[in-house]
Amino acid sequence: MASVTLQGLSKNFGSVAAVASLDLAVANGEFLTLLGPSGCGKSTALACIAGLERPSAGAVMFDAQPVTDLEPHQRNVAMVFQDYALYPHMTVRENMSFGLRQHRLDRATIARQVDAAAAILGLGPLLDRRPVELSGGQRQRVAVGRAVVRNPAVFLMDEPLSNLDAGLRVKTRTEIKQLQRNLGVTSIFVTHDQEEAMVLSDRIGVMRAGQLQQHGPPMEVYRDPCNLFVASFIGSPAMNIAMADVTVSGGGLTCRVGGQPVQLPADVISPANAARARGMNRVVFGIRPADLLVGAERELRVNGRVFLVEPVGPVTYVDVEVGDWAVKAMADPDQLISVGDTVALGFSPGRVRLFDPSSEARL
Amino acid sequence: MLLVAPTLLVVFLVIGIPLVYSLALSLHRINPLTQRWIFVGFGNYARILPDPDFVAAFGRTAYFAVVTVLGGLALGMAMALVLNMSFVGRNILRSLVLVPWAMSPVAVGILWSWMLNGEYGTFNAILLSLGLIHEPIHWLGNGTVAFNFVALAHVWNQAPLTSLLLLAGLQSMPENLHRAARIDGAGPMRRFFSITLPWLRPMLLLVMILTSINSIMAFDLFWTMTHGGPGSATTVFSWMGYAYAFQFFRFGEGAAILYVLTIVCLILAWCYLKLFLPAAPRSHRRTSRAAETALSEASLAAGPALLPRLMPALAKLPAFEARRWLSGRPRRIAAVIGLALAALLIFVWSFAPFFFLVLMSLSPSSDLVRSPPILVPNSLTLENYAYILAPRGVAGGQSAVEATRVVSSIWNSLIVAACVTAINLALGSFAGYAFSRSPNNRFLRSSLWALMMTRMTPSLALILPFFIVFKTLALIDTRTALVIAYCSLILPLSTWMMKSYFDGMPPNIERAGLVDGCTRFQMIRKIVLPLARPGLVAAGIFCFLVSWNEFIFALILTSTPQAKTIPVIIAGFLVQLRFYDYGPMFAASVMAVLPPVVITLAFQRYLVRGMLSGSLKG
Repeated sequence: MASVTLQGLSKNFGSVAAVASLDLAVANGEFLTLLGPSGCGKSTALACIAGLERPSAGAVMFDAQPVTDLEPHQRNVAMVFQDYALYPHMTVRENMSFGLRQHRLDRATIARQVDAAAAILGLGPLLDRRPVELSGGQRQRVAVGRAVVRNPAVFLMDEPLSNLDAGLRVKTRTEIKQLQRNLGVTSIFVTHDQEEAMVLSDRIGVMRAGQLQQHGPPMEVYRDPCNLFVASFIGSPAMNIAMADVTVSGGGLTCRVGGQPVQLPADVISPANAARARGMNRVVFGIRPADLLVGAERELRVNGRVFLVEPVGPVTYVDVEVGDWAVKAMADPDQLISVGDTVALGFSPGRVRLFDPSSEARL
Repeated sequence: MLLVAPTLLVVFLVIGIPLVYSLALSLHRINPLTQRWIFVGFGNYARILPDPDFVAAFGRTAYFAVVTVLGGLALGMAMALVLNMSFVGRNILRSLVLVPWAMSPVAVGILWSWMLNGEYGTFNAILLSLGLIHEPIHWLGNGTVAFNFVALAHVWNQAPLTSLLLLAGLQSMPENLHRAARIDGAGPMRRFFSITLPWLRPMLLLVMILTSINSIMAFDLFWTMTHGGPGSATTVFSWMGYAYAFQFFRFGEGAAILYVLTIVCLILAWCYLKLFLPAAPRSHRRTSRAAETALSEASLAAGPALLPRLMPALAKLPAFEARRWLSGRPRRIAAVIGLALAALLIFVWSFAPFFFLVLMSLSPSSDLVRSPPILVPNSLTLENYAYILAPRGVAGGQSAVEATRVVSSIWNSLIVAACVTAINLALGSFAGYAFSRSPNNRFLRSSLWALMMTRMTPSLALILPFFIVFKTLALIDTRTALVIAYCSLILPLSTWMMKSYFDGMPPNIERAGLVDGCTRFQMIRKIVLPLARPGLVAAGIFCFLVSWNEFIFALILTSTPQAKTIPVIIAGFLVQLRFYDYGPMFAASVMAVLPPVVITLAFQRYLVRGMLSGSLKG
């Protein structure tokens, strides 16, 4: 078990900065997810932590000891890869014991350790098979098993679930969470799936173009995104976004979205940004579909015409034209809504997020 | 069916019939003057097999094969590993490595025998100027030394093919396998033996089969470098068969020798298959079981988590103890220096001999035969090229006969190679497509195997019947004869290459074409062939190189300038060599190797890509 600290971690490939000056600390036993679109540098950052890539600048520290110059195997880390990277010509048992054999442990210890890891993951019946003889889900489990068997100080996972089909993915992520909590091992998980990140993590770090945008507990990142990118990347379906004309009025401000005025209290803008916001006459107006409720009584409302209805089971999403603004709102699945209906969308001012249109930062 | 028919017809007619014919030959005694056949049953075999000369030749062939296959494998593997790393100039080096392979064995033989020449050779020049020896050594005069130098030249010529195939295999390896092994603590050597080698196993099978057969059938180098001598020190099997049939005109015994050679090749190929692919049938059975478990797992997927609530304890493992003699910064610096050295060595090994060939072709004849030998000529001249390109125009114009024929022979080579390439691409790609798209058709599967088996027959075994058949058809000494012969030799390989390439292409694209209203034939023409371009280019290069560089058939089947190809002409220089012919001979050699070398360099990236796709499955 170890804590992980990244100090100014940078990695350049030629003139491209894959990771730019990343500062991040992961506490002992914590589950941290690096989240971002493909090419944002999250996997490169993970490879630097594993020691597979040498950082161009900055340091990686385990328990405050620098490990930047150590080889991967000297760091006591284990890693699960997206394609699992199981050794194709070895059986499951040989795959799992390969690392232990490299560490020259005695046979009895290796056998005991492999059996324990196999018992945890239910791999017992598969131990003598080769990877080609396994299903995708079984391969994934073996990959996790190969990592667990080392009982590593830090557990690294690079999109380990993205090659599984939907149902198995949900089940497996539950298992990974359970496993990590039971073993208490410090874990860093990389994914582009925001739902996975939300479900699994103690903390999420959102990355974009090599830069860490925001980090914090899942609900904090969800509720208080620091900029437009984080706001639209986290949450599914994505947050509704519109350009809005804004005028200061009374104790608050009025935004015009889809041609309809929305009266907001002054505290939708954080006090620190109040002065900056006063000079603006246009802002980016954002609200999540889950906060925009069809026919609900709330402090605020806008009206529009329904043009699509999307039932997903527990809720129904409704696509509504509010003036020239197409928004997605949420409805109770038992509500009778048809295309062409005019509906009122109710929402609370506390769920509205405003952003600076030029810097895209949260106001 | 229709698509495969032309290829099967050509190959089995042109290879099958001669094989039967030469079997018949080997069972008869033939009087070369009266053309009378006397049936002797296995008499030829019975006379040859216990012959000590035969046994000795067999031993030499075995030694030659083992040394060149293993040497080529080690060298090709080393080059492939280096070329798979990333460094500045890698792409250039990847091209240059192929230069020795693009050169015809005849030119290679001439180049090496000159470098090893006992009086004027480059080796002697280098060793003398370094002060390591005090007088020139006659390298090829000593039987054992000569034999090993032929082996070295063969490895030099063949290793690039090995490294090309292995490089393709290396590139198809998922990068994460090595990363996983690094995290598991495996060092570079461990990773090579535990990860890389097992991954390359199917590719190694292919390499072993190809290189073994090339080694066993090696002939051109012996012809140009040693003629089986000194004495019989370099008389291998293929040379012995050639000598019996075409020097002593004992056709029956020659055919018997070459038939034994064919059988040895077939047995060897079968052994390799058994050795390298024992796991194949077992994994097929198991996969179906895996599919069943996958099914039951999918039905459970929606259920609750399956991990036990109480987990067994995992032991805390002891910390890793460093075993490496270097680590951190010094290790990285050493790695960089090592890589640079390796790249430099590969460059010198692949390119220096070719460079010397060009240099010698630009040297005045007087510098070539200076004693003691010199490395760098006193002046550079184009007179050698003028001598062969416009033989009459040169002062003192006593051109060797062969020199006057260089231009026409290049023209012959070009026509033959172009025709062979075109025919092979057309027939080979249709047949390859049919083989690829109906893998479960029994007839096709067995005919593909039969086709590949014809690759195992040494071409020497076919020459005798070819010669006689073409003679009856009055095709001797025509380009047509060469085109027919080469097509039948190369078609199995080009068919197989195209099949592997089509195997790697997603069938859904073709379905989309059919859905969009193409007929099957239109679909092949408009969708499959454009997509298969890298494969076609790679196969085309192979066809061109093989037919451009081929020597024995051209030697036997042609006799006048109207059909002689360039390797025959260069070899002809050797027959009556006067000191002022050296320069023109090298100039002709450069002309002979230039087209294939240029083509190979230009299309190098297609070669790796064409090899890569699907060939691992094959």
